[in-house]
Amino acid sequence: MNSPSYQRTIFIVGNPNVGKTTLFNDLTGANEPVSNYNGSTHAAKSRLVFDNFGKQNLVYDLPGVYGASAYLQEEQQIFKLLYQSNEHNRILLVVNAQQLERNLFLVTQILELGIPTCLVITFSEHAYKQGHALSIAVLQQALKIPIIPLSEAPQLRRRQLRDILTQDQFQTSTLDFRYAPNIQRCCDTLEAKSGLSKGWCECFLFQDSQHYAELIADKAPLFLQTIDELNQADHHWKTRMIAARYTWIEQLVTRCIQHIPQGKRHTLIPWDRLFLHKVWGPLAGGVIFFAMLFAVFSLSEYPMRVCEWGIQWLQLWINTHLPHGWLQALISEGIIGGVGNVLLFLPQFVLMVTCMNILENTGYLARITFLLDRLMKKIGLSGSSFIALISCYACTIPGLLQTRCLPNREERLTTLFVAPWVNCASRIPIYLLLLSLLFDDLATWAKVLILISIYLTGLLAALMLAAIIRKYILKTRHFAQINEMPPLLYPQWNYILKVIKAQTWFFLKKSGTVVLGFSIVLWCCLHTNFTLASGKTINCVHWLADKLELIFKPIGFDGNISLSLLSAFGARENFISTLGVLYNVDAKQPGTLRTFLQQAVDAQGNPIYSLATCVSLILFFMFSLQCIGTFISIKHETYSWRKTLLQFAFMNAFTYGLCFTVYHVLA
Amino acid sequence: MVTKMIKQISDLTDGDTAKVLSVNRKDALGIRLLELGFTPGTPVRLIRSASKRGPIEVLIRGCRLMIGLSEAQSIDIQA
Repeated sequence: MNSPSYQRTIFIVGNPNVGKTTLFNDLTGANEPVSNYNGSTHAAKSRLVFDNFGKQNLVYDLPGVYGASAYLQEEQQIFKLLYQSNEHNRILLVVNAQQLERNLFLVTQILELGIPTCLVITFSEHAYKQGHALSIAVLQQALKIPIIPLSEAPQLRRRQLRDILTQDQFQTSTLDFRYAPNIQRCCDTLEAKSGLSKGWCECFLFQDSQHYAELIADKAPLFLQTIDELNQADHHWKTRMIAARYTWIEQLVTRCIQHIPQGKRHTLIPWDRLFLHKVWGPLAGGVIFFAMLFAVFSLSEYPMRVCEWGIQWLQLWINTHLPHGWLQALISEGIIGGVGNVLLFLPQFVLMVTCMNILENTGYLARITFLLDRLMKKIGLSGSSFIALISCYACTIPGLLQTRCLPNREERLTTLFVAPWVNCASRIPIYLLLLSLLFDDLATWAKVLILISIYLTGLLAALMLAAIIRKYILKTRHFAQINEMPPLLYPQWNYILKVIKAQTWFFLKKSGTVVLGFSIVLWCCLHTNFTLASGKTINCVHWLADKLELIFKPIGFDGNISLSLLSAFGARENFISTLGVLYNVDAKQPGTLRTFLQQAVDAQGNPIYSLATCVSLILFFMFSLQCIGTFISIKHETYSWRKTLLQFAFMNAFTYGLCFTVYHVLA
Repeated sequence: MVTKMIKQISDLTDGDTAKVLSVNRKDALGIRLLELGFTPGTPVRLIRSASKRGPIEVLIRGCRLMIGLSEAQSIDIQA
């Protein structure tokens, strides 16, 4: 036996947006992102937890699933995972009390798989407030498994979940669902011949044969034969089977839900009249996004000034208080010059992440897809791919993962292809630095306008590229689109704070590892010289910079910038840290990176960071694919080196051409 | 008898309720629509349509769904 006998595997299964990930986090103490639209979990994630007896449990958080037909790729993965189960497997089935009827459909299908299950009910207090009182006893009697309504208070809910684990409250249901005789006869024969449980028989009958070919290779002919028999028995057998389940569920729901007349409705529903209005909706959206970006860029001004001052003070303090020598130089030039200049942009990053999270948490982002659907359709994408593109705001990688919820392959590839053009948060610091060089004393509102236009240009360019690809390269006639409209909620601050904490930590970790490591290595390289056989002394960094300059000179970048661009391949923030180290090492006295760059002149005495160079750099960052994380994720998502390299070549060639043209027009 | 014209969900006006007659496509998407609860006889309400040819928002079995126009056209309703 390859798995130890004391270990159980627990799969969290349920419809999309019922709160599976929240339960996963509660149960395991993990910090997986939770969102208020369906499809935030894309791949099964697992974690080990110990119950109160110290027994090991492997808990899987699975993507949402609607039914056994497994229409989406992720749903097929779930059934594959559940199929390879042994006697130690358990299912924690999650049901949203507000959507009981629809959720119960999946419940009846899962129960028949024959895996021990415990049903938990979320949002039952919400449902009660809306006037639906749920009778657990009736439900339990009908479904024949333990049912536990979960509390909405996190502390209590955590204890309930631990109790389920400790007391092993999982049972195999004896629910036996009967169809009309002519259909039932075929199913019974299949069940007897294949040796599979009733649930699995139905599951494979409904799924496309190519999905399960590898799972039940030897039984495939049996299923095909049954499908033939079913077609003869009743041409609409699939409809009949689904309808029969729903009829049963309807009767159950009328028995177990009591309507309380004084209950109040969703309080935020009236806002949908505005947000989803044909005319006012898009207008409101524009105002909301503009206000958000404006708030982010103008509010972050003040904490950024404090940070800038703090970093300068620290550098000065180290220079005066530490004994002069290599250590003092390393800390002052290498570490503070490199990492300090990146940390400067932390307030900006945190504010941006906060705002986007509020929009997502309240369910507003999902409304945007509804409004923009028609526009997206003209382009050849759907509202869901717009969500994926918008998810690239913080970092491109989660956006790339989000494309997994797109059922159409061509649409998904197109979205993956254009996603790097949507500006990620790591690029904001670079834009801000370059803008401060371009316009010395620019009013905040003007700076904000420019940043917003950079954002919009990136997004529009991505959409235009997508339109071209969909029209000429990856053509498909039609793709389906069904999405749930998540409820409009007040922001749940504890979740938002959690996400902000996680993202901030991610930013700090990146600064503390990748950026710090690179800064130190760079500093060390800058201080080591090699003597060639010819007697000439060269520095490897300067040598590399000179070579790179040959490539990048035509688009206006000197050696230092070229070197920084190369380092930005590791992480975008490296661009700033590299420049910081390069200029700090050369500088006579400490100062901010901005003043160094403003004073930088070339051999002829012309400023290096001229208008043409800065604009060219901004364009370079907007359009080039030069982030190793993105590159690897694209390979991972497309399963193809050819596609990844093609994208890399196209984007960078395009950027080079664009920068070349713009630089020469401006210079 | 006068033959009745078959209408689809997308032909309803905002706020109207009707009963599902059938799902008129037999592919995987048709099955998905059934699984979501569009079984014959189920009351469905058109909450709003985004624009003339855009998606629609419907209420079915207590759930609010956004459905693309062409998917909406594959659900016949009783007149």
